[in-house]
Formats: sequence, structure tokens, C-alpha cells
Amino acid sequence: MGMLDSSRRATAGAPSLLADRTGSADTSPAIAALQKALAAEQAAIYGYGVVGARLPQGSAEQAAATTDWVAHMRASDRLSALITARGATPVPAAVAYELPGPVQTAAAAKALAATLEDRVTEAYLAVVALPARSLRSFGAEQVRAAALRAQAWSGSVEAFPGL
Amino acid sequence: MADDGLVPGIGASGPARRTLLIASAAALPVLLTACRGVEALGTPPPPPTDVDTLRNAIEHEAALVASYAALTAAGGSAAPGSQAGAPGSQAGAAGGRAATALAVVLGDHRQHLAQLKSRLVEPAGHSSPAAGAATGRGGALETIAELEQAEQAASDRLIAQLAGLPPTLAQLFASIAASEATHVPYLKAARRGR
Repeated sequence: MGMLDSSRRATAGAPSLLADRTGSADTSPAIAALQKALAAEQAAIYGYGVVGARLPQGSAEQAAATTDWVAHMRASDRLSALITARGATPVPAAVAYELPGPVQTAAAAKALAATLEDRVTEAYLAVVALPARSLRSFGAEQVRAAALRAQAWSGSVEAFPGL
Repeated sequence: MADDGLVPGIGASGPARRTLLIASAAALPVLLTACRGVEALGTPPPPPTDVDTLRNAIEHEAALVASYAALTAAGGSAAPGSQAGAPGSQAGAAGGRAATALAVVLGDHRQHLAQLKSRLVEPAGHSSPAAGAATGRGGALETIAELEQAEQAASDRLIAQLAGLPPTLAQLFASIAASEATHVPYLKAARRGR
């Protein structure tokens, strides 16, 4: 997952972000896909904290970052509930994540936000591949929401978000 | 469309009129069944809704391509406040942005159409589902505002059709639905000269 592959807890000996930490024997495709999406959401929540800090105080862009941060918090809660309902334990968020590069300017912050959304889009496409109608629909709505947020930050469009 | 379904060896349609969905997990058992002769036919399989869904998506995508191509050829001049024929003026600049946006989105739709069509194997001589689609879906859209509405409707329609599709096709539909949704704010911004 790009930026997240090298992400680690700041504490020595902490588990990898993407390691299986469900604490459950349930390794079904649904649980795996939901956990992957949750990990991407948790990274986005952390990342938007960085994004918001680098945007001008009180600006419309900072407000947009806050709005998107809340959206990811809610999606994270939803995913945790879906995972718990299936008898598994939601993967915990890491304390810190390694950023893909320095984020010193507003432009870099907006680029980071777009990257975060791209990663979230990719993760939810795995949920779309699941056969359960409700999960597939949920995944597709999240793919669309993330692509819209990415477009808002980047100003550009792409033919196949997440693929 | 029973003639175009995943029903090899059944009925009068025959192999020459078959339409197959590429990478469809549902297709494999049916194909294997066909190898065991008539006694293996048993109960007719369910209608190939995924093939129909794909053909429908191709038709809608082709209609969008035709509408964008027509508006692009006209220089995007149907866009309110974005006349392309006034170089150097504010309206001309806005028209330039709109024309650029139309070309970008047209490129996306052409890629969507190519990907969707690549998932469908049509026998030689079979009419493409895209044939005539430009006029068969309510006629060409004439303004960018109309295209924005069509994009949102297309996105919603694709997401509503996900159930029962093979996983990879569902992912393609979801990705295209996301792309088409992003065209709405992209076109709005271009139309407003931002």
C-alpha cells in the first residue's frame, strides 16, 4: 500500500501495520478485505492530521481537511462494527505512520491528502470483490466517496480510480 | 437476451451466437457441463444477467462517448458562459477550460468503453451493443450541465448493478462509477472557469 508498506509503530517491537492482528481464527476473505480497508482508513485519519496542520489556519482547505478527517473516522467506526459483527477483532491503529515524503507546504499537504484517498480507494475495491451484496454496495460507495475527495484535492480526474 | 447467454449447447442459438463474459466465474461450470453431452444439461441455467448488465453498461458508455465527442467537436460552445469563439476574452478563457475538460473526460470514457468491451467476447458478425447507442439512449446531450447529470446517473446505475457480477467486473464497475462521479465536480469547475 505505497506509503503504508513501511509504516511502523513508533514503539520498538510493535507489530507491523498490515500484519494480521485480528486475534481471531476467522481469516475469511470478507474479514481480510474489511481489515485492509480499516487499516487504510486509520492511516488516512493519521495523515489528515498532518494535512490539516500544513494548510493555512482557518482556510476553506483546512475546513475541508477536517470534514474529510471526520468522514474517515466514521468509515473506520463502520468497518470496526462490520468486523466485530463477524466475530473478529478490528486491527488497531498504529501510533504513527511513515509519510511518503516531507510535508512542509500546503501543496504537499494537498498532494498527501490525494494520495491517502487513492490508498483508501484501492482498499475498498477489495471489499467490492466480496460476494455479499451489502458489503459490495458499501465498498462501492466508499470507493466513490474516496475518489471524489481525491479529485477535490488534486483537481484532476482519472479513468480507473483504485485499479 | 437468451441468444447471447452463457448457455452453450442449448437451444437454437448455437456456438456462433454465443456471447461470453470474460473472466466470469459463473461461466466455467457451464462450459464444463457442456462437455458431458445432452444428459448433463439438466435444468436450464439462470438467465445471464451479468452479460446483459455488461452489454447495458457498454451501451450507456458508448452513448456518453458520442455525446462528449459531439460537444468536443463543437468546441464546447454549448456550455453556458464558455463560448470558445472569443479568444483573449474572459469567456474565451472559460471556454478553453471547458473544452479541455471535455477532452479529458472524453478520454476517460473512451477508456471505460474499451475496458468494458474487452470483457465481452462477441462472435464475428454479431452486432456490437455499442452500435447505434449514440442515438438509442435518448439522443446526444447538448450541454455540459446535461452531461454532469448523465455522469451522476451513470455512476448511480453502475453501483446499483453490482450484485451478482463476477468480482473483477464488479471492481471495474465500481471504479468506473467512481470516475464518472468525479467528472461532475470536474466539469462544474471547468464550466465556472475554475
